[in-house]
Amino acid sequence: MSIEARRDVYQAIADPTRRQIISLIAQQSMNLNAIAAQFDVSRPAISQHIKILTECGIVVIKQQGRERYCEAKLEALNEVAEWVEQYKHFWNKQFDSLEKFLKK
Amino acid sequence: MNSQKKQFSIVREFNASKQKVFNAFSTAEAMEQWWGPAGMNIIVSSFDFSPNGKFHYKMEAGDNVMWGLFVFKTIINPDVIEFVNSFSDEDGNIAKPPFDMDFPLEIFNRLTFEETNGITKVTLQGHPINATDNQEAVYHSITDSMIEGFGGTFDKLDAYLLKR
Repeated sequence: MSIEARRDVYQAIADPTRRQIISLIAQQSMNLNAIAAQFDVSRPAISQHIKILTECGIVVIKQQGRERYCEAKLEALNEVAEWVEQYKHFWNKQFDSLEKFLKK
Repeated sequence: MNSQKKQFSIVREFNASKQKVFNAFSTAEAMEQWWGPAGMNIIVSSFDFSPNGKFHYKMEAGDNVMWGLFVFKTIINPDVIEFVNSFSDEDGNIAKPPFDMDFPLEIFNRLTFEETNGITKVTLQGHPINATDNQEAVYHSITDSMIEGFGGTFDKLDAYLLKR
């Protein structure tokens, strides 16, 4: 099979384990062993998830001494936050308009 | 609250009584005057302010025409209005948004009105319903990562302040 894998933020967050990994390292960078220790799934499975996350641009691996740390790049999630922002923006405008209406 | 349905919310205060603010949502005449995207005229096609009643409207700006739909749910005069908002077609069927974004088809909204000393606080809480897995994933990842991210920051601030 040679279907080119989709690698974007949506792919990154489509999987619950990957969402948990993002939440975990959003607070502090962690190395692979520390991340794997938090999950019941195998280390290679976690490693694979992290590989996907790096390909999607949500995780960056940084070398610190002998350790390789996974760091979350939450800015990448902005793309998906877009519709929520759009909707909030819409409502703020609606409320501006309502305010004018109420002053009449 | 169902943790599967985390909400986003917007709060705004209005210098008017709760009944007056509530009424701005309850008639076609009022909605026609203030509802809808800036710069677009609203033409009400149907308006039934009752549980499961529909508000179907046309939004017009020159050649640009869109249709919108509310299906009202719980209504408690003058405290609460719940409705499901979506884009729609001319006939009042739910339709995809007229822009290129993975936007949920339907959004459930709950408006609550609280009055203190003549000032009415309006809280809008919303969450997508009948969303695709992708949209749900997007929605949850945003709320999860933001809440946990900020939670972590506040924990640190708490710890710092306790040391002082």
